[in-house]
Amino acid sequence: MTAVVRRVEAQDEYCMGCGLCRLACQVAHSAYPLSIVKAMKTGSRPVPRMSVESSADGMSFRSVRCLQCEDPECVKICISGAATRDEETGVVLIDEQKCVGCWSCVIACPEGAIIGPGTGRGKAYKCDLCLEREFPACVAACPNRALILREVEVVESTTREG
Amino acid sequence: MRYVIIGGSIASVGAIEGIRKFDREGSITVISDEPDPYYSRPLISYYLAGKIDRAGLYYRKPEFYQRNRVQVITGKACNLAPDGVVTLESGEKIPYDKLLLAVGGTPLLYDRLAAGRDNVVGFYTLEDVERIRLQVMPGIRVAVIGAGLVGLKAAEALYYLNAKPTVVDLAPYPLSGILDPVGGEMVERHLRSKGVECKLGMEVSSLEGTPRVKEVVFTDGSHLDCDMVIIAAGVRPNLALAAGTGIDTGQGILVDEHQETSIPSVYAAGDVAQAQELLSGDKKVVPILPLAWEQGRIAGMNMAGHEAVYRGSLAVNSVSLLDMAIMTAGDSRAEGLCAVGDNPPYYRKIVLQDGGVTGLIAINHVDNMGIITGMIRKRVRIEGHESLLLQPRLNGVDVRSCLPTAITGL
Repeated sequence: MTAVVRRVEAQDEYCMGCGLCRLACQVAHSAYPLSIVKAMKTGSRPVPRMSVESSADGMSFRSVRCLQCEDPECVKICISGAATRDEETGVVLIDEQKCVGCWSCVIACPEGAIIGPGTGRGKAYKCDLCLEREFPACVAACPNRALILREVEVVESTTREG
Repeated sequence: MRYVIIGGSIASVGAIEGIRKFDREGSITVISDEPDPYYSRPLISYYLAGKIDRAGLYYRKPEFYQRNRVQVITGKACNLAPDGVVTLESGEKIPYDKLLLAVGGTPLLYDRLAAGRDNVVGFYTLEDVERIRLQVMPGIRVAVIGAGLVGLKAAEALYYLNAKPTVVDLAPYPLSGILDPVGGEMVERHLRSKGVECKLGMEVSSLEGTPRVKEVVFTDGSHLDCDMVIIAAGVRPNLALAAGTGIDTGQGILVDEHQETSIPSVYAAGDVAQAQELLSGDKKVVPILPLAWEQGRIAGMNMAGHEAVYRGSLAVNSVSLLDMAIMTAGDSRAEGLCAVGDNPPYYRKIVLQDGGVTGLIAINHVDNMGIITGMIRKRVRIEGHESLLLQPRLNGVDVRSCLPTAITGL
């Protein structure tokens, strides 16, 4: 079985560390996705679903985001059933309502792509690929095309299970 | 193909999903002695604390059985004939082509201590928690026997309900199964600072009072007054069904890399199974939810005729306890390199073996810890850069730039 799914590809060598992707992600996931001012100044600040890490010397950057694994560790470890992988879109989602904030997904994700313990919100958050948008907010915001939207064909793995 | 699964909990869910990935047609029958299958056992403490409602306990959507066309029989299997028939207590006989034993465990000490007592309850099933909910009230003194993850989460829930829990354990510090003394004492200080009492290094000799226990008596002669006792001292695999069938057992039901027992077409998964451990290669019972699901799924795929190999159990635990984040992975209790800090208390330990990371403890500052778990799984060598893993805020860029092997692109 193969499926065409959406992915964001990060070309970290082009990343300038401006953080606009992170900001756009916050706004897109806020109650006011059309207004950066309202999004950031109304109530508590929205949590970004991805981040940009900088090396200790501040010279190189890395976009840290969910890779939408085919056999995701976060889904395997989730004790509440909040983390699921949508078979159709291949997107791994965490249901905020179901999440109990045990951080099992945080200790399981080899990418370090789950956001939660540091936010004080008691919930785990991750990239949902902005499926309802034409482009993910981070991709649209990147001024240097370090983030690129790709349609990739995935072979639904049957042999690598486990 | 007739698939029969005894047990309805998480390993059973994994098996149904594994079977249905490759076989949409075969009949699946689940035999469960719990009226409400597939709730998540680790969530019962959240339910007790009132942090989630009953609907929130379920690990899958309400239509899960219907969507996967699973027939459920509520009952207890009492006999297993290896030629292909399961007999229920009701006398009903259920034939199978492929069978999964996902029968879980029984709480340790419970049978010995609870018999004939109204106010002694386990902490393993939804029924246990419903019983506790009927008895608990503000100010009630509860002795929680067992300072492991389950006992501490029970104590936390009681704390949130304004009850007065006292955690009791034979071990000298809490979470002794996964933490070392430094981490354990940090957790103990945290519990005490919140007003949760701990009686550690104490062996329970008896519970006094019938039909209601009034005190816990210890072997040193001291005692603890209480209004209720919760037993959370771990579980042992339910081996009764396997006994006398010729299925090889050790501590649990021994399974191969396909989760198959010594009898062909009979599989086992979850808290009852003794499967290969990732790091040691030995077969061990590791009764934690994620491994139950994973083993169940592997069993299910193999039952459906698709070969899938279990990658081996890695003990990975994460718990938030009265707002303290505690994580462990792998050989977490072995000697290692440590970093300790205060305000908030912070502890990180990595265990190294042959240049690779084999164990982790992280208390607070737990963001990104999965990077280290990934290194344990892939046996990544880190020589010379160990200190990067001890930084409070683990920097993924720096860690990755030092690694000889890429751990991305799973």
